[in-house]
Amino acid sequence: MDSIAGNFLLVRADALSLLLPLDGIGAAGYLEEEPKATELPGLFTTGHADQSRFVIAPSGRLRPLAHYPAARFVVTPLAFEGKNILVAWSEMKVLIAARFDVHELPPAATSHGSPVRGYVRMGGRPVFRTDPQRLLGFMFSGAGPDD
Amino acid sequence: MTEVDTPFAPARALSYAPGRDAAFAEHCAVALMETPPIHEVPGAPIHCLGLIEWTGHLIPLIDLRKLVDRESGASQTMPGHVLVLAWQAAPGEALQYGAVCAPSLVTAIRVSDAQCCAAPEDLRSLETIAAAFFERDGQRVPILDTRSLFAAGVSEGS
Repeated sequence: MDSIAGNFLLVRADALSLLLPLDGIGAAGYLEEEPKATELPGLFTTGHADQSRFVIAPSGRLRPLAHYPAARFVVTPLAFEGKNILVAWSEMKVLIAARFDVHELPPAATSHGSPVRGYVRMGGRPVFRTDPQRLLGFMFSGAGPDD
Repeated sequence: MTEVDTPFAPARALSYAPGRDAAFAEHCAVALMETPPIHEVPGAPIHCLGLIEWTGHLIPLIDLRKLVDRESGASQTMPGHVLVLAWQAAPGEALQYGAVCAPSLVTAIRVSDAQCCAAPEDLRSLETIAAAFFERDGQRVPILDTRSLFAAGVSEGS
């Protein structure tokens, strides 16, 4: 079992909890209006004209939600392939100077292209460890919205 | 050798779908749990429903029906009961655990070499994780190797 220490972002999408390294993640924000759908299912925009930004809301399976849930107004900008994508969460916390024991995922629960690298436990529940590249790479990997 | 003195091995059998049974060596079956909470794992194979807690550990839960049928749907199966299984990767190593959905009663059976048969066409996907197949009540039943069942890449390799 490995240990990790540092500053982290703890986020939740429905029942799914994720732990990301805080380094490189922009300041969290709040959406003041419901994002608008784009031609791409699961991808939304917020803001006006040249100020608009893409928004995506992960499901509990880490797939883009097809319909934007009104309760997802907390967003964090995550860098992906040269763009900052706003990712909308059910809940978000910043953890400073935290330390965790990391458990490996059982081989049966992993697959090629898995977006998570092990998990830590908080309150008995698994919090899956990932990073912006893996997270958004998986969400944009082509399976499309499933919720 | 006559049928009378054919040796039998004890096993545990369950129906993972109507008319479809699977068996495990008796010593591998360690517990039966009722409707445990499931923690879904993003990116897990479709037949792995997630992790469940057992004696302080989070262990993988596999739906054999999804493994055999290669279902592509993302719908969550409500497993009802689950059968917790144990295996040892190598002599002297600690036991490892996993679970399979047990939508029906888990029964104690005895299997003899005389019942051994070839894999049926519709269960070819289980050949790489089955120690053997046997005939029982007109059905060809796999005896699944627990260590292989919970290895990585089962659905790709089977």
